Amino acid sequence: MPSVDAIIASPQLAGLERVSHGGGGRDIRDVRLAEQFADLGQAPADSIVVLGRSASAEATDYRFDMGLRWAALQGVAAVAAYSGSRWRPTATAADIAERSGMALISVPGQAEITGLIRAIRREIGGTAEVALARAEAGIAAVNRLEQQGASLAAMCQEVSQALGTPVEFSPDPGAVGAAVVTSQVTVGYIAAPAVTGDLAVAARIVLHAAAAAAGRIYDAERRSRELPVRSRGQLLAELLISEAALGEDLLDRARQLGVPLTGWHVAVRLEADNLDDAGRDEVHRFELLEAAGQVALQAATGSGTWYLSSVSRAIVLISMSASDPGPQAGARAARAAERVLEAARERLPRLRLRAGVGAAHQGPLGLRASAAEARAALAAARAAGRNDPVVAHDATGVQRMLLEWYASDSARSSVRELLAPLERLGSPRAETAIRTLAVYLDEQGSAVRAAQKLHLHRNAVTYRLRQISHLLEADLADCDQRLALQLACRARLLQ
Amino acid sequence: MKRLLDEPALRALARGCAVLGTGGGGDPRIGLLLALQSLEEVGPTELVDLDDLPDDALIMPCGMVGAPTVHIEKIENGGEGAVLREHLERLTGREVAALMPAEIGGSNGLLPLCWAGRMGLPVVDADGMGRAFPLIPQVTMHLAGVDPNPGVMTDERGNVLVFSAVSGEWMERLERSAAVEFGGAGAATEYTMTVGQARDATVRGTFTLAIRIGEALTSAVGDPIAAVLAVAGGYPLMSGKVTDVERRTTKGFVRGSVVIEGLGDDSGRLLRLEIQNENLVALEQGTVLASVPDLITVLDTETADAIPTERVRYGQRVTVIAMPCAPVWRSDFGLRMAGPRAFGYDFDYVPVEELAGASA
Repeated sequence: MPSVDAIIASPQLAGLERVSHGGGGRDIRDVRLAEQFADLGQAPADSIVVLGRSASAEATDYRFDMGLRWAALQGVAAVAAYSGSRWRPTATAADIAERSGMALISVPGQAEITGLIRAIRREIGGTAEVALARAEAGIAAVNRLEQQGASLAAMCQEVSQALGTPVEFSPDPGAVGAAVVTSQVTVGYIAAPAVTGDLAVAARIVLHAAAAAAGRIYDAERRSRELPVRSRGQLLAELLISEAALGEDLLDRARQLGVPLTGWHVAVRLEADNLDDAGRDEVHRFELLEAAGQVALQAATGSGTWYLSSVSRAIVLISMSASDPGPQAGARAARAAERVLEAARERLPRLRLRAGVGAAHQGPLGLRASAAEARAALAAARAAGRNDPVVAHDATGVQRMLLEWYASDSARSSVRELLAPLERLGSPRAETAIRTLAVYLDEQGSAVRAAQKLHLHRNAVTYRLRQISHLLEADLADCDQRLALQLACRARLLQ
Repeated sequence: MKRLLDEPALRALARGCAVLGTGGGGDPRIGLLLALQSLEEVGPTELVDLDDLPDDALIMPCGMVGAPTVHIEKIENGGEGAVLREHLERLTGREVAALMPAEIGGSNGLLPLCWAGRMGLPVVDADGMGRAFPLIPQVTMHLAGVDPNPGVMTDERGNVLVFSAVSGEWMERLERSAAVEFGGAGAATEYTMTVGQARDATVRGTFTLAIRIGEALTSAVGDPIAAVLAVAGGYPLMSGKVTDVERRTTKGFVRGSVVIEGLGDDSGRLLRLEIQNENLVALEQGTVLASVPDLITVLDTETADAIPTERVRYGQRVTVIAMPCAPVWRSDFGLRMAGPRAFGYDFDYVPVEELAGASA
């Protein structure tokens, strides 16, 4: 049961003041309204009796003294009266109150009486009523903050104030906490570590609302951040998919979105070999590709300006530059593609992604061309049964050159002669040896990189090469021999 | 028993009338001055008992109607009583045998004997209240059903009004407004009656009582207040210091509250006195200690002289006493006319002997 002083300390009863010396510690069980002094004698024990305004105006009357005495006999704990300025009870009234340990309370003149009685009722009502009142205040605060789009910190602070207990954003939910979820990922918890009892129940309700609101605020923020990205991606998809001539409208939109269509573009196309198995339904597959796209964009960004677009069942990353990126553009894009695939393997291990890389071309039509090359590269690789994760368009025409050269008999017999010692190992050892050599030479003699490519330990690569160079009786330090062997391996592996 | 009122008697009478005036009725000093002058000019007035007169002799109850304080400036000519008597005799066709104060309290206890002395008539040892009350029908004659008519009023200028009112309440309204026109006060007579009627319609022996109270005050050995209480049969309520005097208007009544903080044996106690023209209610801790129609008087603690309500001031050392009223006021009709509710107080009358017994 709260005491008189505890009740009037409540923020909703601001302005009430005890004007008697004693009575502050009296327990209050009930509240009554007295419209006339006679009502004072009807009030129950341990109650606080609030005098109506007209009765309050007469509080200097002898009848108030009489009423107060009856109230004292009834065991009333406190009498409150309205007063323009701080109530000054008469000496005789103060005396009566003092003798019976009653509290006399001054109520500010403008206090609205039903609100006052209700607020006192709440305070008396005990912890459950108070908790409910706090819950109400807390939810109101949450709604208000969500409308304003407030920060998480502001949310925690205001909820803390409304509940009257500390509230914080924490990685750990504790006993009373609610998860803040954004794009299906829990980023943390809004928790009230110090709360107990009825207030804990109220806090749980409010924290749930707060966490949900915070999640929605996060999502809204992310969407507004991503919106330009999405609309750009949308634009590029339109560009890539449509085969019609490019309208002014498209170019205009590109300008508005800040997409430099007039520059140079290199396209990287990502496809998942096992998309049908990885996703349980079309929606899920779509979600997986979406996620993969995000991961890809994050991984690619850092080496130039990349844009992301989704086309049917594939992700297209486009590197755009204002000026001609030079002959190494494709290679750079390929390396970026490798990083992307690595990141994707980590975050979405279930998806087996491959990347096709196009050559650098200029302008919106050039973008289409690069994208088409990337697509063709992947198709060709699949057709050839190659498993390389990253395949590049043969921009330099190396493949063509090799094919033409290898068409001649003399070339063929040179290759056979060169690689004969390895062929004599017989299949599959021959393939393995040739492949090892090819990769080693492609990686310019780096055993480490070759090992990575071949998924072997460096020592294994070194060992194999010792064998191979011994068998071939070749000096791999000699650049001519190296070139000859590289060509030979390439040609051999074309088959 | 007949008695000539000499100077010591007059002085004692004045002090006694003040005590019986319960704070109202006007300062008897003015009445005393008039009485002493009358004594000097025409000799002492005779005080007689009702039993000393034949039953059919006519009694003229009289006094001042209006604000007693006006008396200080608006001085009478001394012949008002004779004017009243002349008109009364003419109207009734009877001779007036004696005068009687309508109220013994305050200066109205002394005026009739000035008028009587100048006419060579006696005053009877009785009055219509046994104390002071503000309104004309608040007299025992009204309770006894005596006809208030005819009412006669006169002022120092010689104006005369004769009233034939349908009731005591109407007599009050008419005479009150006439008094205002007179300049605040006028001399009046109502409720003319025979001695036979007067026996049951008056409070008897009040002159004697007043004189005895005054004598007790003058000649007390030791505590004068105790002496008064012994004579009047009253109860001490509290002795202390006035700490608050407040006047306000509520529901048309001019009301005041006086708070007295107990001293000595009464230290720690607080008495609240509700006043209008007279002291009407005494309360302590929200409980009534005494109320109208019982008499409540504020005495100066040193001199035991009564302090009129308008003279109560912060810091005065006072003793408040209560005395039982004449029994007739305790009847239903009496309480209707002059009980607490008649003065706008919202509680029922309890005799002071009971209340004093409760707190004793």
